[in-house]
Formats: sequence, C-alpha cells, structure tokens
Amino acid sequence: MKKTLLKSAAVAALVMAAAGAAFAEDGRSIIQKVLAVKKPDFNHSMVKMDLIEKNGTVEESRIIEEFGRHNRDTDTSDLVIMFKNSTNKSNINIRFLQIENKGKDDDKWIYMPALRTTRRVNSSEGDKSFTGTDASYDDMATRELDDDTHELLGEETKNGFDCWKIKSTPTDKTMPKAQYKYRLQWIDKKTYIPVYAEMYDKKSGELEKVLTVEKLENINGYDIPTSNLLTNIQTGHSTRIAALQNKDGKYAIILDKQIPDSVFTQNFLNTGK
Amino acid sequence: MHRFFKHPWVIIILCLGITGVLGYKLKDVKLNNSIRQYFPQKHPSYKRLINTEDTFGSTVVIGVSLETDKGSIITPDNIAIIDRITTQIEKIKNVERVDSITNIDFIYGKDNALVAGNLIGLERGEDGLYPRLTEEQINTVKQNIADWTDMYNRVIISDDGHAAQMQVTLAADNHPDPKAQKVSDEVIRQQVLDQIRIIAQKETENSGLNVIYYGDPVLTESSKKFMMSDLTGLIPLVVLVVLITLFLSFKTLDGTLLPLISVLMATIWTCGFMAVFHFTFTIVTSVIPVALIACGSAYGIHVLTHYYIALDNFKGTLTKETHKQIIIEGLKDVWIAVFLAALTTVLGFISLVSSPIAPLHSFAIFTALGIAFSLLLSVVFIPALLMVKPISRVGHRSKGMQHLTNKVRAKMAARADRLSEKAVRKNEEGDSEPSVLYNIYRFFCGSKPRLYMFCAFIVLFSVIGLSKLRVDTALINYFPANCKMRKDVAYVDKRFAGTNSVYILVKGPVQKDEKGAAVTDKNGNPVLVAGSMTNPEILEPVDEMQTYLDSKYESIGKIVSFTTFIKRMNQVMHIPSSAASEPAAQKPVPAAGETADSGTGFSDDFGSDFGNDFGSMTAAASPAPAAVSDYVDPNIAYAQKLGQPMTVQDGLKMISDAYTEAGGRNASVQDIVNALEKKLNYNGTAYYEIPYDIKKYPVADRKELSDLVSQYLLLFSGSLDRFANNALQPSCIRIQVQFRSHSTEEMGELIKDAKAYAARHFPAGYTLEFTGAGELEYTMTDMVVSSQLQSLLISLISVFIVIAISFGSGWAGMLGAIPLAFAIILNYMVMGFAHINLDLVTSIIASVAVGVGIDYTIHFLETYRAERAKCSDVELVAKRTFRKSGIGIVTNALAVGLGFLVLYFSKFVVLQYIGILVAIVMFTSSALAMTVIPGFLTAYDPKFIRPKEKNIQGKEQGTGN
Repeated sequence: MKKTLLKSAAVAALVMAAAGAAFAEDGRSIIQKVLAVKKPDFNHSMVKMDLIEKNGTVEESRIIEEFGRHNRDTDTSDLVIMFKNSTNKSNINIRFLQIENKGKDDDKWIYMPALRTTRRVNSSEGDKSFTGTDASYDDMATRELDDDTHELLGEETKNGFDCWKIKSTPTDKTMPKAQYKYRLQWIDKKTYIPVYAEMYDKKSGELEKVLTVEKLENINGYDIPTSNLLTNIQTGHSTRIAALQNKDGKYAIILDKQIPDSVFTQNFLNTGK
Repeated sequence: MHRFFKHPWVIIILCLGITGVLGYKLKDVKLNNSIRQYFPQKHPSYKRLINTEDTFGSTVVIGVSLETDKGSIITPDNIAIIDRITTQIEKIKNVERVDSITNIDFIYGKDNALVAGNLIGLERGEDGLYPRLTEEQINTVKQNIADWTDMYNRVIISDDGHAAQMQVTLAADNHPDPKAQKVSDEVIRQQVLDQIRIIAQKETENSGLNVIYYGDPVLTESSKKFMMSDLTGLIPLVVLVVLITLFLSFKTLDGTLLPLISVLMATIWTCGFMAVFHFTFTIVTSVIPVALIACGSAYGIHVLTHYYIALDNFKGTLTKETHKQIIIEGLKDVWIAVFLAALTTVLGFISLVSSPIAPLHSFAIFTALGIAFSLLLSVVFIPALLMVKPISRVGHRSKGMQHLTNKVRAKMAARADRLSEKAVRKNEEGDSEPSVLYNIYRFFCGSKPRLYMFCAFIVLFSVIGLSKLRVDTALINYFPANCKMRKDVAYVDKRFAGTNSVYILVKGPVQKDEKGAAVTDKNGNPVLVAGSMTNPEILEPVDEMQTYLDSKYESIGKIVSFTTFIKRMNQVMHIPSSAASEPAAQKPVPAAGETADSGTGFSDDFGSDFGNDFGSMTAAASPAPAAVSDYVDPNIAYAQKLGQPMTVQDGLKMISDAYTEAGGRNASVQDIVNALEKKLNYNGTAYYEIPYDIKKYPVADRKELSDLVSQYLLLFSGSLDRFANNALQPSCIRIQVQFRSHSTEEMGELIKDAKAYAARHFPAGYTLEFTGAGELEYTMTDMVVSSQLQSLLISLISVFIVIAISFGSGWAGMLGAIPLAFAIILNYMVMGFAHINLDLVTSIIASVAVGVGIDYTIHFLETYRAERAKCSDVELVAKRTFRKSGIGIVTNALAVGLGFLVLYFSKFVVLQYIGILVAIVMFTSSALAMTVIPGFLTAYDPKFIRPKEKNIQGKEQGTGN
C-alpha cells in the first residue's frame, strides 16, 4: 500500500502489508502490527518539504498539497502530490500521482508544467531519488511483511519513545532488488509507529540514512508523524517533511473527508483541478 | 686541528655508529610513485582539482579493456564475462563506480516515461547477474549503444566494435582523517588494481579475450617496478664505475677504498635521514645515491691527493706522530679548496629548493645534505682512518705498485710526477712540451677574435637549439615508449577516447546581495546563483563549444558533459507518441463521472486558514503558466506520419532529401540516417538538442525552457553527480574531455582556445575553468620554465658571489659564471636537437651543471692565480696551469660524467636522458672552463688574477701586453 507523503517519509522504515497472525512479540509479529495500524480512508494535508544541505542551509523549500486515499478492500493506497510553491520557481506546479497495484509495480505519473504534459515515471528505478529528496521511490513504496526477516534485538528508549528495536533484513529472494543491506527500526510500543530507523548501505554495510520522527501526534484517533527528518549520512544532505500548522497550532491535516476519485487521475495532474 | 684529531678512533667509531643507526633506518625508506606528488600541491590548479573531486567525484580511474579477435565484442558470452567482472569489481572496497556495457546509465523512453536504466534492459537474477542474453537481446544492446553514440562510442566500446572498455573509478581520499592510521593512496590503489587483475584474469580465462589495464595506478605500479630495478641495479654499477675511476687515479687500496667508503657512508646518512624525516623515494630522488656517489667522491680524492703529495715530500723517518703531521699538512693544504668546491655544489643543488614540486624539493635538500656529508667525512673520517693505519703499512704505497705491470707503473710514476711539487717546479722552469689541452685552448680561444668567434658560435647554436626545445611535463614521457605500460596506453588511445583527460568547469554567475556585493560562503568562496546552469542561454553555447572543440582537435577522443544528458532527456521526452504527448490544454476535461465542482470543494479545505499564516509560501507564487495558444505539438503530426504507410516515391524522396541535407557526397552513412530520422523525429532524434528554440516547445519564453531543464532534472534525480554540482539546481557543470594525446603543448592550445570561445559566446557572468590531470600537467609546463629560470638565476648568482668573494672581484665572478651559463645553454641546445623535453626531471640538469661544473672553473682559476703570481708571461702561465690542473679537471669531469652515465641503464627514459646529458654537461663545462676562461685571462690579464703585491708592476706589464 502507499503511504501518504507524511508517512512515506517514515517510509524507508515502514514495512506494510498485513498477512497471517502471530502471537508472540517477536520481530515479525511486531512488524505485522505496524503494518496493521489503522489508516484513514482519506487524507488531505498541506506539508512543508525542506531540502537541507550538509551545512544546514535550506537548499529548496516546497509547500506541498497532498491527497491520499486508502482502499480497505484491496489494502492499497493512492497518492497525489502538488507542488504549490517552491523557492525553486521551476518546480512550482509539478504534480505527482501514484497508484498502488497489488502484486505488480505501482503506476506513477508526473506532470511537467514546462511541457504541459503528464509523463509516466518508470517503475523500475526504485533507487532513484524522489524529486531530489533523500527518499528514493523505493523508500516510498511497499515492502511486504515477508520481504524481510525481522529480528527483535531488544527494547530501548529512542527519541523519547519506549521502543522495540528490530532488525529487518531482506530475504535471499528479495536481496538482489533490495535497496539496503538491512534496516534497524525502533517501533514505539504504544502506537506501533516506527519512530526512528537506520538504513544500511547495501555495498559497504555502512549507515546510509537515518529517519527521525520528530513529532508524533494523534489526530482524529490516528497516530500521525507530523514532522520527519530523513538524513543521508553519507552525503550529509537531509529532507524534512512537516505538516503545516496555523497560528493556533492546528495541523493542516484533514482525515476521512471524502476526496473525489477524479483527483487520482492523470487528468487531474494535467489540469490541477 | 691536532686537538681535533687527538682521538682518531673516537671519530671513526662515531662515524661508523651514525652509519649503523642511519643504515638501520634505511629499512623505513618508502618508495612513492603516486602521480599526484608531482603536482604542485599549493598551486591554485591543484586546489581546483581537489575541490572539483569533492564536488564531482574522484578522477582516478583504472581502465580495463577487453578485445576479441573475432568480430564484435558484444556477444552473449562476452556480455556475461563483462557483467561478472563488473559486478565483482563493484564490490571491491574503495571502488566508487564502474562504467561498463552492463551497467552504464542509459536514458531511454519506455511507455512514455523517461527511464534512467542500463543498456541491457533486463532484470538481474538472484545472483545479481543478468541472465544469459539471447541473440535478439544482443541486438537490442547493440541498438541501444548506437542510439546514444555521443555517450558510448569510444567510452564503453571501441570504434571498430572489437573492444569493450570498463572504467573503474577509485574513491579519492583527499581529506584523510589526520588521526586515522594512514595507508597511502598508492597502496590502496595497488590493492584494488591487483584485485581487478585477479577478477578479470579469472573471468576471461580461455575466452580468447585480450585484457589490458591502464590508468594512474598502473602507471604508478610500473614506476615502482622500474624504480626498484633502478635502485638495485644502478647503485652497484655506479659504485663500480667510481671504484674503477678511483683505482685508475691512485692505484692504491687506500686511494680506491677510502673515498668510496666515505661517499657510501654519506649516501647512507642521506637516505637514512630521508627515512627518519619521512621523505619518500621518487623517480627524482632515486637519482640522489647516484648523484652523491658520482659527485661526492671528488672531496675524498682531493684529500688523498694532497696527503700523498705531503707524504712524497716528507723526508725522514715515519713515526706515528710525523705521519699524523703529514696527514694534517695535506688536509690544511686542501681544506679551503675542497670546502669551496662542496659549497658551490651545495649551492647548485639547493637552488632547486625554489621549485614548487615536492620531489624536486626533496632532491634539492637531500643532495645538498649528502654533499655536505661527503665533505665532512672526507675531511674527518678519511684523515682519522689514515691516522690509525699502522705505520709499517704507510710506506707500502709503492710496494703496492710492484704488483702492477711495468707499463702501468710507468704511467703511475708519470702521474706521481705531475702531482708532486717537484714536477711543478720543473714546469716553472718552462722546459715542458705544451699539453694537448693547452693546444685545444689555443685553437679555440687563443686570441681575442677566436675567443669571440667561439663564444658567438656557442650562443648561435644554442639559440637554434633552444628554439627547438620543448617543454612537456606529461609524466608518461618518463617511461620508454616500448615498455608494456606505454604500449598499452597507446593501444587504448587508439581504440578508445583516450587515457589523458581534462575537465572543463562552467560556472554560473556569482550571487549578489541587495547592495550588489558578491555573496560568499563561510569559507570565503563565492556562492553561485542556484540553478543558473539550467539556463538554455548558457547550455546552448556550452554545447556548441563542445562541438567546436571536438571537430577542431583531432586528439580529442570524446567529450561528455551535462549537456549530453540534457539533450538525451529532451530527446526521450519528445519521442513521438500520439497518446500521452498531447499537451494538457488540448485534453478534454473533466473526465466522465466527475462533477464540475468536485475539484473546488476539497481544495478549499485550507483556503484562508493557512494562506494567511504562511503568506506567499502557500499560495502559488505564480499561477500555472497559460497554455501557449499558437503552439501545436509537432509530435502528434510526427506520430501520425510515422504510423502511416508510405509510397516508394515518397520514401526515395525522403532519402534523397536527407542525403542532400546531410552534406551530399561528403556525408557519412550515419549523417544521412540521422538526417532521415530527424525529418520525422524518429525516436525523438529531432529533439536531441538543448531546448533553445521556443517555437519548438510549448513555452512563452526561454525562461520557461530553463524551467523545462530544471524539471528534467527533477524527474531524472540524482544520477548526474559527475556532471553537475547539484542534482536539481546546478550552478556549476563539468565537461569531461578525453584526450588521445599526452602532449601538454596541445593541451595548452585547447585550454586557450576554449577560454577564448567562452569569452566570445558565453553570457555575462558565466565563467569557464579547466581542471584535471591534463590541466595540471599543462600548468606544470609554465612552472617548470619559471622554476628553472629561478633556480638557474639563484645558482648563477651564487656562483658569481662565491667567485667574486674568493677573488675579490666582480669581474672574476662574471668570468666564472660565463662558462657555466654557456654549458647550460649548450645543454638546452642538445636537448632541443635531440628532442628531449624540458620537464620536472630534466630541469635538474642545469643545477647539476652549475653545482659540479663550477668546481672546474674554481680549480682552473685558483691554479692560474697561483701560477700568475710566479710569472707575468700569461701564455706561460696558461701553459703551466694546464700542466698542473688540466688532467685533474679532466679526471674529475670524467669521474662525475661516467658516474652519472650509469643512469643510462635506468629503466626510466627520463633518467637515461639525465645520465647522458649530465655526462655531456660535465664535458662542456670542463671544456669551457679550459677554453673560455684562459681565453679571457690571457687576452685581458685582469687585475684580480694578478698578484697583489706586484700591482703596479703587473699593470705595467698588462699595458705592455
């Protein structure tokens, strides 16, 4: 299934898809519960996405409007992202659509304002950066429960949360296409949300990326990470994705409010309406 | 002096002790063959290279070429081999990336999407390898390669298709952690090279593929092998040569061994110190032992000569005390002369210290130090050893000669005569035949006209030779053209884009603050306007410059840059397809089943609430650009045409048109096909360009084309690290120019040409810089020339000062410097005529010439002055001077020249040159000292050479002459 961008920042760590049942709190059953965390049918939010250079300067700041829907029957999620504004003026009005397909590659399209057309995004390039962020397309996509073996390494307080620490290693079968050698995830015991994750370089085995959930909020009964920081340790570059708030502190997140199907179409990308 | 030598054993033990300790340290001597040490580390060019590597990645590459002897290299078997080698090399530590047929980026269009994939286009299996390709798939690979020749031809495949190339980029550790245990780059790279060889050899076994390796690490490896063989082979050889020279001079065991031992000890000390202070052995510094042994033995020779003279003069019974007296007498006689000779040699060598290049620096310091050690040991260790020699053995000098043949004995006696004061006295009586050397002098410089003619000839020939002298600092020229490494490089240069590379950086304008001042980062470097390199106004001229350079310079094998990728993206995004390339504005909206207001309902969710809080950030700063009304996407028409059947008539007409368009008879098949494809934009060919012409795109202005490039980058995200400094908003791009020639001269022309082109065609604010090994070698040519002039000036001035002081006259200084200056320009003349380049290594010759050559001048001047004090007939004085010093000077020059000539057996061609040239310089400088100097002295009988107490008388005689 597809995550919303907010969650998909958590992405790299998140392993989704529900299958089977487990009783003991072993690595696999914890991840299974992570994947089974309740999701809103629709979400609509405004987020700020900052691309941050090694030295801390913000290279590009984008305001993004995001639409997501989750189909409970198929357990698939679709996503529309619109670049409402950006400090890089060339990127304004870029729009992105991702439709999850069960059992085959997801469909992705991007609207290119300068060409005034929508183009497909090739699905086989999972390791490429998503629009210049530190997240790859794969980071935003699904890893099925049994794509990895999950090992419970222990319990730890991480990032202020009481967590399970889990090592997820791709199976022999998924390894050739896997992006990382393995991932360490810290799962908040209370919410089953991964609040911290480390991704290890497939070739060197060294730490490659770190994901930190900076804020975890309960909105309308859903646990939503409202600020995430994904850092590429090797380049020093990082991406922060945070939900916008008004002056009262209210998040620009609207959940479970019906979004028309027309939004999740190429046509919508082309016209923006 | 007596007190100093009170305990000779202490001196001997001390010297041997130091030798032992420093000799033990020799085990720490490290060879350094890395290429970059020859680069001037403090020069802006070098810093630029490091900065460029920080931004765009390492430029250290190991190339592996595979060539088949039957047909195309692209076969299922060979692709499998290349794939296996590539995937294994990728796993080697310190390998940054591998570019080969099986994994080089391939940008193509698929289902209307831009794909950054690879040429194979298949999924890898669980073993990480591609399945074996079918013949059909092989054809696809070939087609893919042909589809983007700009990128692949000569990079991964040779022009004839027989050979494939893999380029392995090695990580550059330019900013090592000072605390970390440092393993040198050279060692790491050698390890990688070894592993690559093992992998490639294993995988190509029995495949019939010819495998060749090249690149800096291979050069370094050859260099190491050569150096080891030089150090182990040449040192014994030079010892032998010096041994023979010494034996022929003295014909005694003492005379042969003592100078040799002292100079060997000095060499051990010098190299020991190099180890202690962590200086490494390089091609240049490997000359140090040879230079020291060749030059340094002279001091021991002088000390012993004067000892023998004193011994011969001694009449009476030898006791331990009187023997000591004799030794000290001899030493007193010679001490100043030897000191002067060593000092000038040290000055000659040390003048190279002004060189900005590290190996020359250490060469200067340690040869100077070694000469000082040789001097020290000659005046301290040799006398101490003589003192402890049993008295009973001292008298045996002549007994030793009894073993020699009569003939040799006769010669020996004659020589002893010459050396002895008796002989000199005999000469004073003027009853001897003029020597051959004297006659030579008379012939060339015996009168003023002859002297000036001679000088004029030297200058004339030198000027002609100098005009032929080429400065070329390409390191590859140090190796003989017939060695395997050079042959391999030539092989690769012929088949692929070339092993020499230079990078062009194109930089955007500097960002200005409100006051118009340049914005700088915290390191003080100017900040460039982000995204300025997506502007077609610069990309277009950059691309045109590449075409211009590529067509003008034959040596350019390939130019790949940021624009190569942008052009390809633009092409792929414009492959005719009726469905999805329709612009949005022409698409019917809304789709069925949607209500018109469904769009607005939800988008009001945040309307005012957030719009206010986030100000202009939330509301789109610019509305979606209006569709350009008069733009009609030509690709729809193209797609229709491409899908239509065609008459033979039309077809032939198209071919004929394309033929004409491509240039008619001069067009290649590829040109015609290209023109044909462009006509219908087949495969997007008509859009293989920088988007520049606004008529071809749905845009209102060129600014939007800049947005287009920017959006391509967003879509492509992240694989352009080597060509752009930022994946999304580049402000600096890198152009990689591969060169099939190693001529720094040609590189210089290219650099100047490109800079001029940029000045003519680039928009204001955009700048162009060169970097990379090719540029550094070019920079070094200037530096070699300026450092050569500098060190020449320093050494000639030193010579002037030393002679001027010791003779109390500026004219004497001038007279001393002239023959040396002649010797040096004659050296350049020889280099010019013999096509030997002036480079880092050959630039040391001038210093050797001055440092060693001046000894002859001083020697001659000193003797002449002494003779002049006894006689006022200048011709007679000259005659006597030749008698007394001529043979000595010739012997000395022969010894040094022969010593250096040993370098002729070096594996490095550049050291062979050094050997020959130093030998020639020894000949010319000694010959000039014995022609030009007596020429001037006899012609002018200058004041400084005349005895002081007879000043007035001398003057009268002078005017009388």
